[in-house]
Amino acid sequence: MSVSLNDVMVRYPSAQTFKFGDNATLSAELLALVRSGQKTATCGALRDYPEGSPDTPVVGRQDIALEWDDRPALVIETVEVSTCRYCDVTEDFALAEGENETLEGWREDHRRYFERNGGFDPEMELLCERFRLVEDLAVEG
Amino acid sequence: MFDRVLIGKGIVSSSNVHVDLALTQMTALSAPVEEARFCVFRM
Repeated sequence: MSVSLNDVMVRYPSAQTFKFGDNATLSAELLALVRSGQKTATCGALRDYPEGSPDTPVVGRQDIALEWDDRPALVIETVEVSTCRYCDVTEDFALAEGENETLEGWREDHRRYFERNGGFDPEMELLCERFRLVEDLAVEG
Repeated sequence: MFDRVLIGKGIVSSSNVHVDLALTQMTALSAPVEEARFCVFRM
């Protein structure tokens, strides 16, 4: 039996909710990578985080990643936040995102992602986040 | 006269949002209020 989002929000009252990926298949893949420990970083277009937005990751805050159907999946804690242009993303960060084995693969996948989510420019600013897994809500106990 | 009120916060200028509507009741207005929850994607 899965835990409800309300119950999780009570335990993590400062948490914001978000989803990995922009579709059900990608979301499931990224959640699996986090659970396996392969994915410890993520990014998004800086334009999606207006100044003062509560959705902006904050170092030390624990946020709730949702399954695509809105069930709570994971609790993560942000350990580092930085901004970087897409074209300046390092291989170290790209590989920490977990879904690619090369920087070129990261660039290709993320170019497509941004093209379908508001537009792509190689010099676009990204909000880059490193995080640690705090709790897998699919694990009972 | 409004029959309901939409309140919310988040990004409305980008396609990179998911909108989840939840109904709550605002007694001061005597009208149901739809609270919009925006969920940002992270890649």
